Amino acid sequence: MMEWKLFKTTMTTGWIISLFSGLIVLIGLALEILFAIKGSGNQNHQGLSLTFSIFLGVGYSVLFLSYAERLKQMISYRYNQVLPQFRYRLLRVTLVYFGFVFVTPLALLVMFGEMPFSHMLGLTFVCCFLMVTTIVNQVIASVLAMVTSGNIVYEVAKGLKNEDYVALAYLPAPVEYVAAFFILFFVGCFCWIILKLSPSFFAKTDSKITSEKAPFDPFIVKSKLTLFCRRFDLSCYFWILQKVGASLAKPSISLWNYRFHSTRALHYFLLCILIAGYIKDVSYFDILFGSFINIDEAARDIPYSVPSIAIILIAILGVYDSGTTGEFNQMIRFLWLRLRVNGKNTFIKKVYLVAGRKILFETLLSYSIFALIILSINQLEAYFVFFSIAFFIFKLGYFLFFSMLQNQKSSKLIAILTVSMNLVLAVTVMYLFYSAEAFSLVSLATLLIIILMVTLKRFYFQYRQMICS
Amino acid sequence: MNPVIEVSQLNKKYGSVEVLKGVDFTITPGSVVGLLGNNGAGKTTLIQAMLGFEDTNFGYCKIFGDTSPDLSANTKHKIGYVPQEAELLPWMKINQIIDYTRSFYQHWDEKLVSQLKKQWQLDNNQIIEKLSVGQKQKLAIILALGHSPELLILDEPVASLDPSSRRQFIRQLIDINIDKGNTILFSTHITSDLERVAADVLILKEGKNYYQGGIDELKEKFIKIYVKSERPLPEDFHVPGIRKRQRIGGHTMLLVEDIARINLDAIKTTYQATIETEQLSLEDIFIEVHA
Repeated sequence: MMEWKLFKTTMTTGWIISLFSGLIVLIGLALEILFAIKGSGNQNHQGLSLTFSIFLGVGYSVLFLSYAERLKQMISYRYNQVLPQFRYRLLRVTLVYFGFVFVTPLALLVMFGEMPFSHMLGLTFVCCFLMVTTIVNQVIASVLAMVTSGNIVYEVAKGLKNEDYVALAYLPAPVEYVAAFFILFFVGCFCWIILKLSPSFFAKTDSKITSEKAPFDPFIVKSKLTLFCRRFDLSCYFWILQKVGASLAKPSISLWNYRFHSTRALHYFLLCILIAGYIKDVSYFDILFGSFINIDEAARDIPYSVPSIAIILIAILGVYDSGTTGEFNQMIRFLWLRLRVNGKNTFIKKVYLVAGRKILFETLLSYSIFALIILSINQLEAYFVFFSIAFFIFKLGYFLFFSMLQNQKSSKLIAILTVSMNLVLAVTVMYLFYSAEAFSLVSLATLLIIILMVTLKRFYFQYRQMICS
Repeated sequence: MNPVIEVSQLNKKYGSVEVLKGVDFTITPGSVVGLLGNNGAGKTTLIQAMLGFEDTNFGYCKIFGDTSPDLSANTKHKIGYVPQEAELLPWMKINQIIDYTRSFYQHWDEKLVSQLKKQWQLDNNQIIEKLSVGQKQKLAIILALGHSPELLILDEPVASLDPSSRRQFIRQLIDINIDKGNTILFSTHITSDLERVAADVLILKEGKNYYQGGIDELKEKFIKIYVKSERPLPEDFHVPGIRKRQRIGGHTMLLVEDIARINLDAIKTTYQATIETEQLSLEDIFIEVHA
């Protein structure tokens, strides 16, 4: 059946992301139900429900972003167009997929009263928005997402500071109606885009199609804006080094990459929100992730936003700058014959030192931002210690995951095992948080030590391996 | 004269697959050696092992007297290497990667680099990520030549170049070899290119070195012999080193791998035959070796 084949094709590329985000979604749904059953009628329930809606939002966003990317690739390949009713079948597959993984579970949750309708509306709005804008242009999608969320945060912050102020009052209709209108609009746009736009449009907007593929399809070009944005700060750093006359013979430069760029962009973004919050004496993170959907006065005092923000930040910061090992082989191959050091061992020590320094710097920078954010929303030492440990556990977990992925023979198995390990950790962190005692801190510390040991062992073996496989 | 490269009993396994099975050869200073072999014969593995990118299971490889992979800084700076797939930093512009690469070396031939950039129409402000495969390969070649290496190791460097760029590159290699007496090891499948630039060839077959020596000597050894006699040659007719035997009309074609071992006069007398010989091109020899 062609629909099934199309579905399998959309799932074969980027399967790790799909698997990972799919598992996040599943675990989010499971926890939503679990805590709803456990805490029904409790004030905490509302906060927890919100926390897991955000958890689901993150998972679904990643899932649909990656799905939209693959849709673009499939449509951009011209030979797919000769398949009978290719576009209609693809749309059908997409709608069934969405119905199955998104609409059905959320609708069931709403029907059984385990999730407010507004949360479902919010999640649907975010996902539809992401799907459409990602297909059109990733850069525009990012800018629009920043403007929209920034505006909502500003409005809600103003509403919290001043009780007379009605947030988003400038909208012509109630927020729910506006959201519903936009959802319908985005679904319409999505259908039109999938059915009507030409393959070259998709190829032009696909930033993942590399220039190596260009000879096979001359219509595929990368947008200048995308290229400019991706390499802007890397180029700036390099330009500054050139202009100040610094020696360029720095091994660390060969570790620079686009992931480095996006990590730095994320750091800047979070820092800006943090500083703006300090200036305005309001925690934007608290508002953005914890308080802006239907929270009554009594529930507002409950520190549910601390875990929700912590989980999101851990997920984002944990995964983001852990990919240095991916560039490690590139660095070794580029530098081996160029770097002025004698012998292989000295060379390996040198590059490990450079990579280690970079990883340490990135981790400390991420942790500093993370710690400042947690402190800005809650001053309790227990929370701070607890989430600091959780942060390092996730960081090491992801780091382990990426470094093990370098071994291609066992990469698939390791990917599954590490994702499972991270999910077990996530559940453990959640469980321990809700029974927060000294025991939980000891457990987390033990987990941290185990992961640290495994990571070091892995590095020891990588050190003993050849320079590059 | 000390060899630039000395490889002895080199053995490399990937799991249970033995890719190199005791390869031995030496390359003397100033020589240009072509490395030939089928896909999977072990050419890239051999180059990677020589340069220290790959570990070996047995044997050794010395470059300028240093045993791989423990090459000294001086030795490494005497080597220019162009890998099969250009290993560049995709976010950089062409001038940036040239500046970055130059910063590692004490000597840099600015004139040669500018000349090649101009010849190959590479613009300083082009972003590497946007270059075509051929352009990336050209850039990798420029980066490998920039520090005027004494030893150039090229792993299928021209596979993605257009014919005119290939010609220019080959001419460049010849100039480098003639002007500076540099040593070149050149792996390729394009035998016509090899014949233009290389005097010697190393043929790898199933992980072993099948032949090392001059291309001309190889051509003189691998010969097609056409025997035309009154009566057909007997079924049990045998000459040493025969690789192929074929009847074409009244002729019998014999392909031999070492004509020096064959007494042509004896065949003429015994079978009252007339004999004609034909030299093979390097490509034909390559095909026959791997047939």
